[in-house]
Amino acid sequence: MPKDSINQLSQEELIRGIKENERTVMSSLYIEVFPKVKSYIIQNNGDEDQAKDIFQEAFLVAWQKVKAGEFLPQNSTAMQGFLFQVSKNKWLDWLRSSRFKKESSLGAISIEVADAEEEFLLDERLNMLDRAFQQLGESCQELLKLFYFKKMSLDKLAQSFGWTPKTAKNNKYRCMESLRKIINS
Amino acid sequence: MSKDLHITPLEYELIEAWLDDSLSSEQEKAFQDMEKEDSDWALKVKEVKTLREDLESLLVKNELEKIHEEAFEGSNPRTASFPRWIWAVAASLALILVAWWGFQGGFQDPNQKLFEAYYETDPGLITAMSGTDSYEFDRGMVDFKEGKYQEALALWDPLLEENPSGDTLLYFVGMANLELQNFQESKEDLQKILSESSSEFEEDAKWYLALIYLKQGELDQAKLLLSDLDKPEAQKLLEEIQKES
Repeated sequence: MPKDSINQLSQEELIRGIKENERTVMSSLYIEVFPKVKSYIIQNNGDEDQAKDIFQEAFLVAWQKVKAGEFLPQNSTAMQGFLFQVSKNKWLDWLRSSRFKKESSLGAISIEVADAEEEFLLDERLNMLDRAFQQLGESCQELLKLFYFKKMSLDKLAQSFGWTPKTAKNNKYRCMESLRKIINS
Repeated sequence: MSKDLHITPLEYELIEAWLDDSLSSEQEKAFQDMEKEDSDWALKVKEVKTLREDLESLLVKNELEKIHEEAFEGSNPRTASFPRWIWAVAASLALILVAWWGFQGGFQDPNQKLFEAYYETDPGLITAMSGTDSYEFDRGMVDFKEGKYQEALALWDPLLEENPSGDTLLYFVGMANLELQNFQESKEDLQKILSESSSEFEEDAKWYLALIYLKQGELDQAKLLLSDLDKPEAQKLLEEIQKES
């Protein structure tokens, strides 16, 4: 997808793209908004590494809000604006919490993002999950990625691994159980 | 994920269908029954929901990292900004660490040293991937031989539930647990084999069980098992333990 063709998507296509984690939608949005967030953060006492971390956290929040139906972007511009706003709020929260505790004049525009404590817990959980996921064998990693991230149906999954649909279902269960056991051990 | 919940494949399917809003009328009934009958049901639903959502978030996060690398990182890698002196300090620290490691090695627990000297991974069985009943076992064996012990256990654990006394299965579940350093589980698996009247894995189970006892400092039990084995390595190890103690 050319850089600006995300702007051609209808609202429905955009939301479907987000719900199905389409790489092209994800990457167009990233490439379009990150430079703006980066320059905002650099102008406001931050550096490029911080911009990257804040932006990726914000991206995840914004992405989840759309999936959960809590934010319905009218079009790509609205989605870009939302992503920028969530990033900006996160950066302002960070500044307030660590370096500008007394200062309250920066004036964040109020868009509800996930509660800070909840996000911290999510971050912890994702780190733990990442370590557990790395311990799975390659075929389990691939299977779970295709199903839960690429949203491939079980039938297609079975086809691509040369399994029956029943085996695909069983193997998906086993891989998830394996992941759960590593986390709980 | 605080409680060790057992979720069966059927329950898993039911929960996922509920989360995807795709329950058939039969499944809907089953779901309602589970809500009434299983006191852990709400916890199970929450566990599957959280795991699914977190897994998707993790995979999105990983993808974002890739997108960033491809689009922006080529010209500005993070490490390029470290001044040279940091590398010098890092190199010195690495040297100190290596020296410390070597030093520690000299004082390593003698039982641990013996365990490491004698322990060798079981090579596993030859598998002929087939469509027979042993298909899942064979798949697990392929994983086992590739060092994917967690995966092998994921395939074998359900088989063991169906057939808890199958000695071949018990033995390799024990071996996979041993590789994963789940010593207690491995010990229990191997003890079960030895509690049966006879098994072709008896000798091997004794050998590995002796090694676990050795590692855990339970020397009397280790010696007892080793003295019951004919293989020369067992006698050699027994002599070495006796020398050390």
